[in-house]
Amino acid sequence: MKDIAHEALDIAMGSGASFCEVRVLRRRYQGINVKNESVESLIDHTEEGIGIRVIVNGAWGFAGTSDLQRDKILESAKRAIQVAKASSLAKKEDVILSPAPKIIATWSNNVKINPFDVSLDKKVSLLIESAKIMGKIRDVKIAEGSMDFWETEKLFVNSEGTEILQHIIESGGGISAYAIGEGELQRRSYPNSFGGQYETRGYELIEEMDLLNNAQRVAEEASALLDAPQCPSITTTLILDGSQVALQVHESIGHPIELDRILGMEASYAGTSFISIGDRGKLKYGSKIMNVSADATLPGGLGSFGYDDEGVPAQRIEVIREGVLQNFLTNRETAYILGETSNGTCRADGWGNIPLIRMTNINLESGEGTLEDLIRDTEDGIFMSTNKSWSIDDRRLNFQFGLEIAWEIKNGKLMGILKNPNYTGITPEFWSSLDAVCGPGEWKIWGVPNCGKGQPGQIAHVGHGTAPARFRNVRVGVR
Amino acid sequence: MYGEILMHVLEKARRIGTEVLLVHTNRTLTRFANSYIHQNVSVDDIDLSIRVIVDNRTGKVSINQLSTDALDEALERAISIAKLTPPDPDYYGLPRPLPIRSKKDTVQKETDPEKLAQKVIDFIEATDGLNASGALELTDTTVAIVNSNGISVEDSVSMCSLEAVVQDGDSSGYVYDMEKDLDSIDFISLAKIASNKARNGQNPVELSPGYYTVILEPQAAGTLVSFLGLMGFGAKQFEEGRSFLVGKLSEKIASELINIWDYPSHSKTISLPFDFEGLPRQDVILIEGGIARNLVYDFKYAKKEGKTSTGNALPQPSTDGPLPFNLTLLPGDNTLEDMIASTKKGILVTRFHYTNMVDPVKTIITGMTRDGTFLIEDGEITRPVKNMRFTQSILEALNSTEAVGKDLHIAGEYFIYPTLVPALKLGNFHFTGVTR
Repeated sequence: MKDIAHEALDIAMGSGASFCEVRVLRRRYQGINVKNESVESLIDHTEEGIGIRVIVNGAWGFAGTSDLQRDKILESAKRAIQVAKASSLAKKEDVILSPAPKIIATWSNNVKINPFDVSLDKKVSLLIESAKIMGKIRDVKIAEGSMDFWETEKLFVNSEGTEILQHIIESGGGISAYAIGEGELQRRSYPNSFGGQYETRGYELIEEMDLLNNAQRVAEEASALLDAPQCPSITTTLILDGSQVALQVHESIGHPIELDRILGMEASYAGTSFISIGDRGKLKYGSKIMNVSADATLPGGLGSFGYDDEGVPAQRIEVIREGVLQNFLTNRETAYILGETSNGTCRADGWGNIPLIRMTNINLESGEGTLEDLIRDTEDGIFMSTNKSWSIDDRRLNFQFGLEIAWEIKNGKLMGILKNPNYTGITPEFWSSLDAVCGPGEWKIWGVPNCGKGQPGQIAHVGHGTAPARFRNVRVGVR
Repeated sequence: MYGEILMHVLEKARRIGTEVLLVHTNRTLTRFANSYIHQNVSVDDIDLSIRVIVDNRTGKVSINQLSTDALDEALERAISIAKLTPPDPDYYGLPRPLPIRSKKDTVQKETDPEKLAQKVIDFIEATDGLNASGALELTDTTVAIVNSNGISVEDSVSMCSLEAVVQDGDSSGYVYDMEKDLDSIDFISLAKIASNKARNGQNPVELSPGYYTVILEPQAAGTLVSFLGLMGFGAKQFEEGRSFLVGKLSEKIASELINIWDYPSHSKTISLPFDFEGLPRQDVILIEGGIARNLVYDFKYAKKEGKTSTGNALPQPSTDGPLPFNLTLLPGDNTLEDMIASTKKGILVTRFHYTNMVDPVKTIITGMTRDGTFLIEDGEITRPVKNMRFTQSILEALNSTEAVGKDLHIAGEYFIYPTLVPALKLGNFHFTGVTR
């Protein structure tokens, strides 16, 4: 890997580049999907390739290839130069990178059980057993389970002398039961929807989930939802479970604080942000109890790593303190505009994409008490759990989330379940209505393995440390 | 071109049921924002997957290397995975070859990044100083498939697309086009359309949520058609009870003005002549005069249901099952101007943003308007409107169709196949919120 990377670097720098970085990446992925006691798909994918990013005449160019033969790498390096020269035809100012230290390092995450060492039979059996339990419950017509594992080895070198080798293992899994009635479908998932929970850990994560002991409960809840009353259309007190708070943080905090969005670099696709550069230290984002960090150093978080894809060390930064915006997510290019150095959030999807500003682990810091305490402290309201759908406008203000299940709260107690719950709001108004976050015992880093951004589209793995939280005067039951 | 490599795998596999699928993608994408090129990439990638079936047990391995060693190792791994996998009680074998129609287009490879940059400069200059952002993409894709039942197909397709937003302060306009080659895109005209929308969008008024008559330009109409395509035309979704069409085939589900086909043979669609199993793509009438007519099938679900594959297979095995790839809402006979002129009070929508499913069985989706939303009063566009959130059943909206446009456009949607759609006038559309 090293020889290939340095050769590409030398070719690019010898062909007119003023800066060059090269990533050589090997990745293995295993994905297992079980449905109703059968293996529906089992994917075993390996890939490798090289991505070469250069600055020529003050403009960016990138080329990548999966063909690691010497002549193809040479061709790609020259292609990157050609692309950068084309970019320079339509530039306004030269790209200048904020300084970054020269680093020679290796990094890997802690894994107790390498998931690729666990037999396929063991993984498939666990999912099929879970599906069997779910499938026995009335009206449950589809019982699904899945596991996903990635092992990534990536070498980064740049023309400033940095050379970093990282080895990262990620695991994830979960189950879902679908109950189908007359013109109606209800789903319950565990430990989260859309594939479950994901972390930078090994197979021990799957073992700790205890899928078998949760299968019956989620299936019974899915079945019960068919007969449950609709979530009412009212304005009320809302308690969200930790996994939904994670997605709320993702959409209404994580994306708006990306400095490339704020600067308009994503305007035509995902959109911009309601935040402007001058808002730092001034914008009231939420209530006094709202404290948010971006922390790529948390062990196990899906957004954790040693170094980002510009070779900048993983960091913890304060994003919101007592409800006031403190910082953005930056890379070397955008940090220069602020007169600062990168806070290390620039990551690429695989070898064939350029690195972009991506969330790391964006965390709502914990408060105090348990979920039980919070419900007991709530006279009248609704508790919602597990995301079903999400949507937010192009400036990240008006959002609407649908969830799998809700419970009515009366006089500090959970009452009957409600189906098709959803809620809507405007970002700063919603976060200003936050009046309680549960304590460290309820706090957990939820993994989001499907964060889309950029063109060509890239998928990032990010995390959100969150606990259940309470919001006042929220509009629910939008129909 | 790739026949020899793929046949090597088949020969090595000998009597084991085997399918080899290769997808070669060469993409150049020039991205601009704040009226300059800020990202520019050129990537060449291959994905080769080997699917083997041993005693009704499937094993699949995919790689992106084509050396003989890599192919042999992948085949061995696929066989060992198959042996560890439980037998599939629903396995119907691999398909046999069927005649493939000759492809309607030749591939026009254009990879000069300088030419793309010049087109972007043309677009930026035609906005007359407004803030232009967008992406110009050229992609050549080759797909080759062989299987041990005799299927052997290979073909290529080229696609060139421009997506752009032009901003004038806080207001914006949007354009999208996808063609088979770069020279077919009219960059200057598109820049003028987006710029005019941006200029006309200043100082928007806030409307109250509620039910409105809407005129959806093709990009917005495409969102409804795209999401409908995900929610239930596939035979697998139907069999599992997840489709909105369960119990509704041959019934009226939309206005009689609505005709939706999966239409790979249409002259404007960009499509390979076969699907990911190597079977011929077929035109399928999905909704005819508002009546639900047919589903789409891959080989497995066609066999299960005693039908013929319509050529709608995704790479197998697929958790999604067959899906329509070239959804087309057939044109009517109205111009956009006719629709506006005939509207007493309504809202003109350029496009929707970040739409997502709320209830697929009831075809309810939610999303926001974006990049050009205008109030229509007494047959004229009078004022720009602040972006609004809708929460709406697609079928209920289509049931209120008052007019269908006569010009078809390609519409893009995040992570979904593009559609071919005209503008639509709908009598009843539910906006449930407003943004700032």
